[in-house]
Amino acid sequence: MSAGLQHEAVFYDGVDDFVAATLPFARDAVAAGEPLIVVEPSAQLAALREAMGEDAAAAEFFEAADWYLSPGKAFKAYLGWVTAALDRAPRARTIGEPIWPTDWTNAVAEYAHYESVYNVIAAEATIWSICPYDVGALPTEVVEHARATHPYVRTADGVEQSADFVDPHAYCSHLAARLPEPVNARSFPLTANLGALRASVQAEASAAHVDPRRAAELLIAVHEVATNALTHGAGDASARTWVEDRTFVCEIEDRGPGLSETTAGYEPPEGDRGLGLWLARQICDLVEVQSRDRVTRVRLHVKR
Amino acid sequence: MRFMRAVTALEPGDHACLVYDDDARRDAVLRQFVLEGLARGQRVLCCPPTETSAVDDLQADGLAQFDAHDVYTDAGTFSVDYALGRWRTTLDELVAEGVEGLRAAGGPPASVTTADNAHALTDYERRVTELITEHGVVAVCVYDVRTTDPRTLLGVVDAHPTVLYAVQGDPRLVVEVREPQSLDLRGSIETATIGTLVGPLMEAIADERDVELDLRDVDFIDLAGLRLLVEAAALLAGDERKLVLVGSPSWLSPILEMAELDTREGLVLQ
Repeated sequence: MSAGLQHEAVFYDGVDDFVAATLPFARDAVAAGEPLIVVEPSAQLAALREAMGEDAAAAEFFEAADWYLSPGKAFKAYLGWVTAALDRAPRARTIGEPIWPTDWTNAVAEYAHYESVYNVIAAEATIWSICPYDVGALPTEVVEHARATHPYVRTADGVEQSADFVDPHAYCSHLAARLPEPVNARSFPLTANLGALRASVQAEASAAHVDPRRAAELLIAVHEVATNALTHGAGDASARTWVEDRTFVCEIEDRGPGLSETTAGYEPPEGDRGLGLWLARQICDLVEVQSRDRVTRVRLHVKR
Repeated sequence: MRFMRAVTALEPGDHACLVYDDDARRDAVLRQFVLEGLARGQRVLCCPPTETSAVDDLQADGLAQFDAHDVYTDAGTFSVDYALGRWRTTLDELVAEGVEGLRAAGGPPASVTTADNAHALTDYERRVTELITEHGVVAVCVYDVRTTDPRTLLGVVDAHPTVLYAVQGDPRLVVEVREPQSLDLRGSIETATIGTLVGPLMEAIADERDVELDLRDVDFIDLAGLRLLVEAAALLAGDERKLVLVGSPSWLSPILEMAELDTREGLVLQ
């Protein structure tokens, strides 16, 4: 095994199979004195905890519903846990499975992005992560994402390289390519007077029934992303808002040097660099970045 | 800390920070400072933070101009020891030549006044204060509120015994000084308006009590504004005082956490 990240997908069918697939990994972690975190939907969480018996006391368990609030929030939470765990042990292990938002296409794609970029950001960390997928319950699309975003697949016979694994930069670019054109979008000019943009976005968010506090938080994300566009863009920055099934969306577009479609907003900020987009990923329920052909679009979603 | 309105009131040994948000106003103050020194027969060292300034056209034996990048950065990177060494060597040489009456004006370029250099620049300015006292120089350091990171700005302002303002302010933020340590704010606290707040806020910090900001009529605070508030609280905490934010919006606390500004020493949200 390499010194850095070991990132494996595990395919199971039902809770009993989940326990069979993950219990040896969890027990080995405890036996090796390696910090272990388990983030799973309720049924899986309870079943593994019970199966671990006394060993469970050495692990940390979190409900997936509380943890995967958004890709950005979950990513930050994992990095925080990993950093603390690696302060006390040379290697740490994770078992993590979101409640896949299968009825929200954009969010499924962004969680696939999250799994892919994890290979890049955590590459050097001595972390052993297994990501269980309930193949009996999940649509094929999610399983295909799993095969493309995990370099390894764990089976009852052992661990093998995933033949379908795709280089993260290529995969994130593939995901970013699919951003659909919005319907009924309203456009707003983006000038140095960001107060005017904030007022417009606030009015649109209010009309879309966004909770006022969430709207206030969104305005901070909009302001910071717009500031980046004005600071680094080459003029011609603009903003659009529209409403999707679940969310109110504000998109900032610029023609600057561009962002990484892979790591933008997932890379922990160093000083001020990258802080605006990182904060946007913490605030928003979903952030999508498309940066190609000299046009960069950042889509900020909040639920309504 | 003293707050002054006129650069002409400075005396030998004074180390002043000129906070500005307008190049023309900065240049007017610098020009006045330089001309006054020349009129007094002093030796004037000048390194403005931008490539051009209103003192470019002045030709006088007593005036030496430097490129701020050369003075503040070593191979493109700000270094306290390097920048301090440059000033010390120059001043020592002039004193050895028997020059009496020295004045210096300048400021680091925008590439230096970043968040990453907040502590280093503050440390640098504290040590410059010692150097200036030692050599009996009168000095003005200029900092642009528009390009200086808010944390860096409060740190460097605090490191100067004297503060001067050439801040036009921005109408999108109105600051009413109810009492020296108690300010009512109205509008938005953001990069564009921070200059309006820095002066009254530093005057409030110079007072010896807790500082109170009434945010009930504040409709927006951006990251730069949040940093300013957190840094002001940290300055006060060093003195066992507090920054009390009255009527702080409900989103403020979670946003501080998300922005990893949750080291909230000295900050009280009400």
